[in-house]
Amino acid sequence: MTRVNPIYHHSEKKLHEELEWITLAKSDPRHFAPLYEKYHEQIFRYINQRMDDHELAFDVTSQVFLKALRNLHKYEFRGLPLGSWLYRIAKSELNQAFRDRKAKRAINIEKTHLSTFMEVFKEEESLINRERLFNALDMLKESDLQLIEMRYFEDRPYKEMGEILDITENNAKVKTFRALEKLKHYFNKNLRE
Amino acid sequence: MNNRKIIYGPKSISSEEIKKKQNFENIITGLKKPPSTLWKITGFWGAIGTSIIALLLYNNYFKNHENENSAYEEKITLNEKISADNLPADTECLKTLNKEEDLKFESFFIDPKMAHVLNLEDGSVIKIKENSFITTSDLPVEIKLRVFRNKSEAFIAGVPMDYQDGAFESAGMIEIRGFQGGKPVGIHAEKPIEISLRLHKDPEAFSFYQLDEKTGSWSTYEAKFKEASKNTRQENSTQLINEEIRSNEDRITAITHELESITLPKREDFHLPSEKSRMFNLKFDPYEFPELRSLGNVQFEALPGQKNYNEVINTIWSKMALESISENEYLVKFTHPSGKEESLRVRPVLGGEAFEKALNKFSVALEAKLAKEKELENEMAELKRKNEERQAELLEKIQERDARLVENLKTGYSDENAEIIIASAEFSTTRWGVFNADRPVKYPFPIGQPMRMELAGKQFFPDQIFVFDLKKDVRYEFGNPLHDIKDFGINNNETVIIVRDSGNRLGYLRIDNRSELKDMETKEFTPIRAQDITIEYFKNLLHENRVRA
Repeated sequence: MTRVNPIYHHSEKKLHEELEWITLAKSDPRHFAPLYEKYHEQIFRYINQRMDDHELAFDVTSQVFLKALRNLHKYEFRGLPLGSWLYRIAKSELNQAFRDRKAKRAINIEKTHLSTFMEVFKEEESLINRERLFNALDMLKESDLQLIEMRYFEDRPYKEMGEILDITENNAKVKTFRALEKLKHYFNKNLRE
Repeated sequence: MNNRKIIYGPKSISSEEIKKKQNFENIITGLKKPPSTLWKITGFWGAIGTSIIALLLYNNYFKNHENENSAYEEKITLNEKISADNLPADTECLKTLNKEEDLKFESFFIDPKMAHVLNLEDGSVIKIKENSFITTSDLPVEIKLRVFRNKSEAFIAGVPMDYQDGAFESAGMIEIRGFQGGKPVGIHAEKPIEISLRLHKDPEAFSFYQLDEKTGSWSTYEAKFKEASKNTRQENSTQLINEEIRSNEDRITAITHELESITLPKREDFHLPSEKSRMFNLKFDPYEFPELRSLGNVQFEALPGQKNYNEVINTIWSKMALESISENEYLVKFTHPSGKEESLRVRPVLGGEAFEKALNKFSVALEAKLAKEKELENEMAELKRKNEERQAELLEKIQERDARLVENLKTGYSDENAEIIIASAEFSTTRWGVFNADRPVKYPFPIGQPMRMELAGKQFFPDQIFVFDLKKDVRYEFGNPLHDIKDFGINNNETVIIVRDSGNRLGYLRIDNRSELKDMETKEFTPIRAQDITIEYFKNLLHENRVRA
């Protein structure tokens, strides 16, 4: 049972503040500075989690903000934090980088994540199980991997995942559950083979 | 296979490193250049005249704003971050785990003659009146401060989190100090500094404290909690639910402990035989064994698992002697005419009427204990069920509130029913130090049995054990004057245990519930390498590293 955090991740004041900055930045891009400072780290971490080169990750992050500023006039406020829009741009920029073969799709796994999966799969932490997990992750479709990364590597709430992926919170829950089932299936398949 | 590259245990990048790479000016410069893809658009050349004019206007616009920007840069210098080398020295009780990775201070250089308002990134505000400081010159006064936003930051900084017999969780904590020319300055009693500390938890049921930096203990400090933009009627209802959930959780913890402490009566306690085929009669001197005489009709039962049992009972012995070993255990020594000797361990059991009476007593005692167990289990199940309902109710209320929030934003933020918690602790001070909005949480019951710890395959003897209860969001500490290491315990929640020895070697263990510690004698802790002692690492370990939009 997870305790529900009664303070949602964006207060009315924060959203209002963002909206003001966005409105100002539409006429003068310099007003985007506080938003850049606010979101730079989290967008970088999102990109870096999926890449194998920090420097390239910083470059792609810069591209994301450049693209965001270029397209800011098209941005429409829908009651969501600006972050959800930036993440969608980041996803597209990442795909572009992979397509251009500037970067290789990577999965960064912390040791603590390994423990989490072994707990979920009720398996021991061993070298063999680690390899089985790596293979299973590699077998996942990109869309499923995305869900696993967001939920288990980045520890995002379903609501936020829904906002980033442009789906409902419930849909994010269901899809993540299915992705985890697939991962488990591949993990067990690795044992049999 | 997708041939993705798996990086296990990637090098972590600190927030500071990422911040160093921030370069908004570069983005703006990049923005001024047309994107390369534009050249591929057929319409671009048709609209080239308009584009050139637009670019000229754009450049002109930035030139006009250059003066404004330099003014902004001047303000920035007042708010510059300082390096770890400039950190104020550790006090007797604030001892960081890793000086290089300690939570950094922000520095504000201010003119002591003027009044100042310092707006911090998290929304906290510090108001300083003119001529507030007891200074010796007109040099600027440097205000150094840091706001602790999570357990990891307080842990790395070595902030003690014990209060009397409870542990702190913190709803907001600030450390603030003032210096002039590198030396601490005092604050005039009639001109205290006013601080509005932004809290990250609802402060209902919280108090306010200041740290005594010599003893490491906290004492209460006067502060007013202020909650802005809060719909009282709505919030009271969620507050009540939260309180109920919390109180139910406390009761569940207490029940878990009660259940652990229930021991079912054993047949041997009532001198009841467990295997009649191992029973036999033996004459003994009742004056030598008065405790057996008082039991009445006493027989003996050989204890199970004795290899010589069959041989002993199939041999005719010339002499048998009884000898007491412990309270409820005896040794029968058998001597053969040939001089050969054997012995059997036995316990006294009852026969005849005495057996019937003892059996009756045993059944009553067993039923009473089982009934108590059942009653507690039912109560716990009911509390868990209630909590699930309350959680669902709470979630529903929060979702309603969020929906209302979005609606309010769309309709111009005018809805007075908006229910947002923006809480702060308002206080004034004439002393520097660490201030904290908090409430003590009860320590868990001790595990009660020694646990063998291993780190990197070798036995480990910690001086301190830190127990992070991820559900209660609290840090318990064992191995200090208030809580002995022997009292170590955890709640029945997801927990991270961090151990530390006198050589500052650290290790961690993740535990899902209390019973995992009871069943196993040896626990293998994962070593935490010296280079891993960072805020980021602990945030990951304690699941605090959520990237929030």
